[in-house]
Amino acid sequence: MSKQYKNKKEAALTLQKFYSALEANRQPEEAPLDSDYKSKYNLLLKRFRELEKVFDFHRGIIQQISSGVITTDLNGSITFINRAAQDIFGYHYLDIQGQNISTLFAEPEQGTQFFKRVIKEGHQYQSKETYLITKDGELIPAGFSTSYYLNPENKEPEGVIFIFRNITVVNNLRRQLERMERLATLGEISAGIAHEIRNPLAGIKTSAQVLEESFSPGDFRSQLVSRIVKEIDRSNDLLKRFFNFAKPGRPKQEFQDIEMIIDGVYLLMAPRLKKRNITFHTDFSSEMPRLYIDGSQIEQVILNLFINAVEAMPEGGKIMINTKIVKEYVFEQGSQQAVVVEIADTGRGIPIDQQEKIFNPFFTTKSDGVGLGLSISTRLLEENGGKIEVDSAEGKGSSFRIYFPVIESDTSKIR
Amino acid sequence: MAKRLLIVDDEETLTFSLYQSFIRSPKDYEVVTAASGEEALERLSEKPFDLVVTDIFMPGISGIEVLEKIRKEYPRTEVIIMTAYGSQEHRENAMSKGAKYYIEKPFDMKEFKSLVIDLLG
Repeated sequence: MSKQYKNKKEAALTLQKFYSALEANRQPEEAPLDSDYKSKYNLLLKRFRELEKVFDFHRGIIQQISSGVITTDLNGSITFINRAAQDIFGYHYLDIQGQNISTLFAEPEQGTQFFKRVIKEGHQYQSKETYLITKDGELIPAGFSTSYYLNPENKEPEGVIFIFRNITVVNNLRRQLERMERLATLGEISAGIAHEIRNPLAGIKTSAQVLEESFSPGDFRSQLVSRIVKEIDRSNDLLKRFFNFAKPGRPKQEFQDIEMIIDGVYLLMAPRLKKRNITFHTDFSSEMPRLYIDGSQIEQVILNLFINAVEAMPEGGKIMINTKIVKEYVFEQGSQQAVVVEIADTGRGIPIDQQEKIFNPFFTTKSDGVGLGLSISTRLLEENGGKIEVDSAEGKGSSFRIYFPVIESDTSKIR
Repeated sequence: MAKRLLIVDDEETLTFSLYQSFIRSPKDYEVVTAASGEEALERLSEKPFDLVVTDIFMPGISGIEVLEKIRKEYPRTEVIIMTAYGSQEHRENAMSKGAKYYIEKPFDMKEFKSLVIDLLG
């Protein structure tokens, strides 16, 4: 389209020059001829201005749309990239013109396949999800759609239009929701089962204890019965943890200083850190608003993350906690200012294929773990309006970030 | 006169073992068991009890309904609520409706007996 526009513009300019020259040399008696040319000239100029307007309008749309738009020729060479796409990829138009579209896909081979399907099979992708790669090598989850760019005259495909959106935020929210749904379903099931088990357990325990009453304390039968009771208590403890997971108590929310809570957890864990040769570092934001949370529930969450961090570092290492404020974080109720608490360790890290599974109830990598720590934490955070995210690199460490909405009404800053 | 104790639960292993324990106890209690809320109300209508220990969730009339009926019609009868569905809400509900104690199953016999002795002497 821009080529066509250029041609017309050049034509109009040439004409304009020509008429200016004519104007300079014109003779008074040539008036009728002149007026004929003049009206044609004015008509052309008018048409040109109209075209320019339409062009600006379309260009404005393409450049200001929030989706990335890239066009390629039929070989996949990039012919155009709009502003949003330049922002997403970090490339300038000139850097990338002529480059093959497949190089923008995290897996270029996959990009080539997509392109082939479009060209050879006439396939049109609709919100197809994939990973793209920026100039800096950052992977971005994106959804893209394709269509043909048709030659205006013969209506033959002349190129391909890729329209795509960065879906990091959408993905994040979707993942959190899926996680919650999974937890809620599993929570209900496990709570139901746990309750059903607790009833017969009560019968067994009472029977055992009544039986125990009939033996003298030194009797081996009495010892056997007390073992039965001990095992019942152990099972019951486990069941109680399920309840906690399925139905955390209603949070008693108050304005709390999150850093005090972190300090409290640190004091509790300090002897264990020392024993394991783990150092502790904090970097607290100086302008931290107080959070509207249930202090003891959030303490449990942070303690959980601490314990996981310690257990990921059998050879020692570092735990780093920092707090900061982010302008925007997307919660279910919408995007708003949030406090982020990041708990990072230098432990063994979590393999990428397990990074979502760790939030599932009963998923554990510890030989003596039940696999409820993170799922309970997720539930507790949910009750308190918070969210949790993880980043991890195998062999390097993990970082858990918890987000809390900043409640506007609390204007009292701590420092 | 022996104090009268009614134990209500559809879990018969529990009522049976509690019964066995109380009839062997040095305390002179008269122990009766019921397997449902309906049966409990029937026993209550026959002869008054000093203490009713009841589960909450049973098929038919629930332990909470039994508690409400007792508070209305047998004001001298004390009630202990026991349940496997332990939660703060259940506890508050039971206590606000006039239960003396609320105990989660499975419980410890010693603890259970001390509650009974506290109410019956």
